[in-house]
Amino acid sequence: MKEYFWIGEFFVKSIIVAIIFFAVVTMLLPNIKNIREEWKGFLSERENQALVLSFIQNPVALTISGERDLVRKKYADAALKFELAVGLLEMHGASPTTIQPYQVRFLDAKRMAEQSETK
Amino acid sequence: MKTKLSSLFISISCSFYVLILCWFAYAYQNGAIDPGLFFNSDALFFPSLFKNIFLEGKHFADWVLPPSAYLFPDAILYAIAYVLNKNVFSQILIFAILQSVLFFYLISVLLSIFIRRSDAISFSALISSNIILLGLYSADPYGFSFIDVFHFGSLLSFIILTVLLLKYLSATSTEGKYYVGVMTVFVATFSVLSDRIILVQFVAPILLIGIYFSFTGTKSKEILKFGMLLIVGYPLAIIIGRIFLPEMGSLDSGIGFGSISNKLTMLATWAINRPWLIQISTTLVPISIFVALLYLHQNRKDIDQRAAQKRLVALLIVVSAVLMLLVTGLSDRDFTSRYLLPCFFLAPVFLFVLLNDKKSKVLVFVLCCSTCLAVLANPEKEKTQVQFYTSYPEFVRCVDALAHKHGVSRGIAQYWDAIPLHVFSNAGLNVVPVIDDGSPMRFEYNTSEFSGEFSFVVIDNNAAGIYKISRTAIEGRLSKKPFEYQCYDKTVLIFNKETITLPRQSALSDLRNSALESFVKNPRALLIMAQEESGKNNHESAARLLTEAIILLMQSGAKDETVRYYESVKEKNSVGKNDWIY
Repeated sequence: MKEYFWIGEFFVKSIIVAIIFFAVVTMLLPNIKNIREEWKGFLSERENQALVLSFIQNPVALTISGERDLVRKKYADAALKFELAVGLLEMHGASPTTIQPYQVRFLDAKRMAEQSETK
Repeated sequence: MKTKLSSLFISISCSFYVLILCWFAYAYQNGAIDPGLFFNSDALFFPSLFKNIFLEGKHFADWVLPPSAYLFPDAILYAIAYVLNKNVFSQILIFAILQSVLFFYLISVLLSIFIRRSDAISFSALISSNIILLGLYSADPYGFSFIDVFHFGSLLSFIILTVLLLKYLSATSTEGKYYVGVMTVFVATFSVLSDRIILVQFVAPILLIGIYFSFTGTKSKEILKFGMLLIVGYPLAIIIGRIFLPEMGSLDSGIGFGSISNKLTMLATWAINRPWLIQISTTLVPISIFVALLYLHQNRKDIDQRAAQKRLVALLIVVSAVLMLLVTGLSDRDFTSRYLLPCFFLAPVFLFVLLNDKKSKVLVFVLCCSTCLAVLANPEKEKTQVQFYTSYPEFVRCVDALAHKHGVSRGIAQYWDAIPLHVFSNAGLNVVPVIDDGSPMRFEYNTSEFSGEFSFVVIDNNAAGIYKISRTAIEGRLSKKPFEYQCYDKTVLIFNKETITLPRQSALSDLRNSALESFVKNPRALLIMAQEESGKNNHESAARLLTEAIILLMQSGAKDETVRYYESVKEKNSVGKNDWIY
C-alpha cells in the first residue's frame, strides 16, 4: 500500500501546478470580451474607421464595399468608403474623368446619410 | 576604563547628532536652506499626491507616477509625516528628519555586524551628522538625504539588503536562513517596485559576485542563493506593479550608446564645480574604492568568516560602483550625481568596515574635522531669513491673490510652476502642468484633472524648451483679450469670462502618433482624421495629419491642384477656422 503513496503526492503536485498554470495564464491573457467591446467602441468613431479602411489600397474594393453598405442602408459608412476611394485616386494623380463617378457616388451617399440623420 | 570612554563617546556623538537635527530644523524653518531643494516639482511629488488623494478625494488609479514609484521607503515615511502634521511645510521637515534617523539606524545596524555596537552607534551618529551638515552646505549630492524621489530611498534599500545579505550568510540554522530569505524577497520586491536603480546598484553586483564565488568555493554558493532570492523579487515587483500601480511615466531616454568618456568628463566637471568642502568629502569615494581593492588583494586567502564578510563588502563596493558608472556612462541621459548616492553616502561606512581599529580612529578624526569645517562654513550667513513655516512661496501668494480677485480656480502652468501652485495654494487653486503648446504634460500628476475648463495660465518668462508655454497658442484659443499681470518672473493671463479646454493627447506623443499615421496611405483618411481632431479644438494634431496628407500626395505624384486644396485646408486650420470641416 505504501508503494502507491506517490500517486497521492503526484495528484497534489499536479493540482498545484495546474492552479499556478491557470492563474498565470489568466493573468497574462487579456480579456477577449473586453477587447471585442473596445474594438467596437474604437470603430464607432469616424476617424478610427478611416484609419482602418486606409489599409485597403484599391478604390474598386472600397467602392464595392460602399455599395453593399448602401444596400444595408449604412449610408455614413458607404460615404466614408467612397470618399476614401476618391482619396486613393487623387493620391495617384488620376484624371478628373476617372475620379468623377466615384465622386458622384460619394456625394450621393453623403446626401443619403444626411437625409437619414434628419429623419 | 575603555567601556567608560566608549559610553562617553556614544553619548557625545548621539547628542551631537540630535543637536544637528535641531539645527537642520531651525535652518529649514528660517528658510536658510535653498528652497529650490525642497519646493521643486519633483521633490513635491508626495505632497502633491497625498493632497490630491486624501484632501481632494481623487483616485490613485488616475495618476501617472514617475518612472520610479518611490514607494519604499519614501511613501511610507511621507505617510508617517502626513499623519503627524497637517501643515505641508512641517510634513516635508518631518520626512527629512525621519529619513535621516532611518539612515542613522540602518548604518548602525550595518556597522554593528563588524564592530562593537557602541562604536557602531557612535560612528553612525558621526556620519549622519556630517551628511546633514554637508547637505546644509550644498544640496548636491548631500542635500538629497532631506528629500524624497531623488533615489535616497534606493540607498536605504541598499543598506537594508546589505544587512540581510550578511545576516543570511552568517545564519547557522535553517529556520534563521528561511526568515532572512523571506524578508529578502519582500524587501527586494518592494525595492525594485519603488526604484529599479537598485537592480544596478545591488542585485546585479550580488549576482555577479555570487557567480564568481560559486566557481571558487562551496560555502560561497550562499551568495548566489541570496542573489536568486533577489531575482525572485523582480517578477513579483512586475506583477504587483501591473496589478496595483497606475500608469508610470517613461524616461525620455534610456540605456543606449552614450559615451563613457563623455560621462566621466561630466563627472569630473561636476566634482570640480562643487564647493571645496564637498570636493574634500567626495575624495572619500576613490579612497574607499582603493581601500576595498587593497583589502581584496591583501586578504584574498584569509578563510576567517569575518574576513570573508569584509571581502564581500569590498567586492560589493567595487562592482556596484563600476556597474553604476558603466550604466550611467552608457545611458543617453545626462550625468547626475543622484545615480551614485551609495558611493557618496556610504564611502565612510565602508571605510569603517574595512579599516582596522587604529585607522578607524584616524577616520573618526577626519570626519570630526569635516564636521567642524561644515559648522564653521555656516550656510546661514549669506541667506535671507524667510519664515517658511508660516509663509509660502511668494509667486504662489501672488497667483492666489489674482485668482481670488477674478474668482477663478482652475488654470494651467508649466510643470515646475504647476506643482508648487497645486501644493501650496491657500486659495484651493487647481493648476495642471502643460507643455509649450498648451497640451497636458502627463507626468507625476492626476490625469483626471486635465479634463474640464481652465480660466487662467501662468507663463514662466525664464523657461525654455517644452516648459515655455506659447502665449500665441493660448491667445489663439481666446476670443477676448485676457487680463495680464506680472507675478515676479511669471506672466499671469486670466481669461476674460471665457475658458479653454486641453487637447486629449500630449504633443509628447506626437512622434508615436506620426509613426502610426505613417501607415495610413490615404490622404482622405488623414483629412477625415484631421477634421475630427480640429472639431475637438486639437489644431496641432490636425495640422500634423494634414502635413502628412500633403507629403503623401506629393510622394505619390498627385496633381498640383489636389495638393493645393490640402494646403489651403491646412492654412484654414492653422488660423483656427473650422469652416473646412463638413
